[in-house]
Amino acid sequence: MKALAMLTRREFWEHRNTFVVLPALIVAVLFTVMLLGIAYTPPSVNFSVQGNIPSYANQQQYEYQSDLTGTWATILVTQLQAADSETRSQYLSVGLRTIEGILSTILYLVTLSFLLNCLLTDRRDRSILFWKSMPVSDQATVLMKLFTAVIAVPLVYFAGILTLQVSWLILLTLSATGTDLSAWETVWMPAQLLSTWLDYLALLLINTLWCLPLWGWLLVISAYAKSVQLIWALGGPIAVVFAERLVSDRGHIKDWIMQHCTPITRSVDISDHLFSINMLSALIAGAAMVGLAILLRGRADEL
Amino acid sequence: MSTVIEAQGMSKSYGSFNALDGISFVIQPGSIVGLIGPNGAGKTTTLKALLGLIQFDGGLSVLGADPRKGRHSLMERVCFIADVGVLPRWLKVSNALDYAAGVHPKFNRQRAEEILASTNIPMNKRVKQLSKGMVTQLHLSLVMAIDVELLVLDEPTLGLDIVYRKSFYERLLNDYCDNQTSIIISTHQVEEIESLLTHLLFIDGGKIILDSAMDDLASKYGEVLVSPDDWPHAEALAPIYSRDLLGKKAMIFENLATEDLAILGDVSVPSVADLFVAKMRHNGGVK
Repeated sequence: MKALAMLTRREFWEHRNTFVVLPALIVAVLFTVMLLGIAYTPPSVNFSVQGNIPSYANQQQYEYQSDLTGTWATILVTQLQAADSETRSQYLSVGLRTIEGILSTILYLVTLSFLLNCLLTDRRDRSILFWKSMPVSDQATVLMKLFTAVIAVPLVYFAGILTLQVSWLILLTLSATGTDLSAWETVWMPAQLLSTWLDYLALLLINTLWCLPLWGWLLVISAYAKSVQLIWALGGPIAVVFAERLVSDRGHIKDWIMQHCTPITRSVDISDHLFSINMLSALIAGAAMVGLAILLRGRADEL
Repeated sequence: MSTVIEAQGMSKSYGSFNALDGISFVIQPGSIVGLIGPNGAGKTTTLKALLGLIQFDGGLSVLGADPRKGRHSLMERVCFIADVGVLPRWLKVSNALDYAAGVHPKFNRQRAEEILASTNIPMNKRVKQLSKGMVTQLHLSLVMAIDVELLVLDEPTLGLDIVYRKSFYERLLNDYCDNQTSIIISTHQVEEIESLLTHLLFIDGGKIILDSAMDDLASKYGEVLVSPDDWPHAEALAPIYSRDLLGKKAMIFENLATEDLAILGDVSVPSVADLFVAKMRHNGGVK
């Protein structure tokens, strides 16, 4: 267990900039924007919002218009206090999920980049000879890189999301001070932070499985390619889709690939995905690709 | 105690190139073996095979195990230093110690820190901030803090200046060689390790062309500085190597009795470097 933990620590030493510094910077920038929100007073605001609120299992239309004055934060607090509790939750969820969306998008790109390169860079710089001189199995090496990419790093980004969401609510609390309704009723209770976070963590685990073919494929390319790994990574699926089109116009394989390259979001019903043949096929294909990556790693040498 | 390494008919090809051509050799416990050969002779391929880093044909037993099966468990008993550039450049010195302590059950962190304290390597620097010599010292410090049965060194001092090279081998000799650990060293700088070695393996074109204990060299090889008058007689004895030296010829003979050679002049044991050149030329490898 100590050795496995060390393998994850080693990834954080190597990728400190994208695993730790980048989310910290994004948190700092977004927090600064929030501070401007409580400090900046626009001359007048025609508050006009309409559209869909992405909700867990359904979607609702909302529309609101009003001329308001005050800082951005006090305007929002005023709107929250004027709304009923359900609408408050929906307004706040837009903000909370925007924070989540920004960091999750960057996390997705960081994960793709890491998995595509993690078994290639040490062959390029010859440090594979050092890593393989240690009593660490190829299985442990590959599986802990996968664990780092899809569990450990997302938890760091989740800590950033959590920090920003709490900070945002604290800033709104400051703006709600002295108003008729308490900050608890205006901000904290309707925000439903705990369930928001639990939903996020559940999605994180489900996406680990749902996208396993993608993670596995990137590991295979990383372990196999000597260069132009991005072309290999894209070329394989494109070739498969092209081959499918030659023999059939149904596009099942194309749809399957597209589905498992895209993490599940809150807007879909998770249970439809979790217990499905589609998920089972993803697990089988993903496990096969991770197994292939382990095999390739065992035969890997310096470039 | 059983053998440390036993290779039987090991072969490895890269396309049409035969890197190893059915080599066989045995290494006994406590040996310090020099694996000597020109570039492309198969030295690194042999060492990588010993470490389970490549696939190959033939039989190989390292500490009683086949390195192709379960490299990671073998690495608990074997240490390896490739040439100077294999420590990751982003790794901090302190992290290197943390890592070894985390994954290697036989790593003694205190010992590594003591060894590093005797160098001028700062713990908070990254590998990319160290000189080549310091990187080698760091790697050797890590390895010397691991209690293993076999140490494999592949050109460990390549590209280092003479000061670092001497320091490396002195440290290896004084702090590591204990008659328990076997060491196999591949290097071009034959003169610097000659005094360390107990056994010699010359390799060329993927074949072992000399496999001898250092103590047996005197009975197998003789070098004589032959005067011009004796050249016809000496040539008749079929020297494996001859070079001009101060108006005479220094000739190396193989498997001839000392008394047969003594009539040509004073007989000495050839240096490993001279023997290496002699065997390479005799084998047609070096012109």
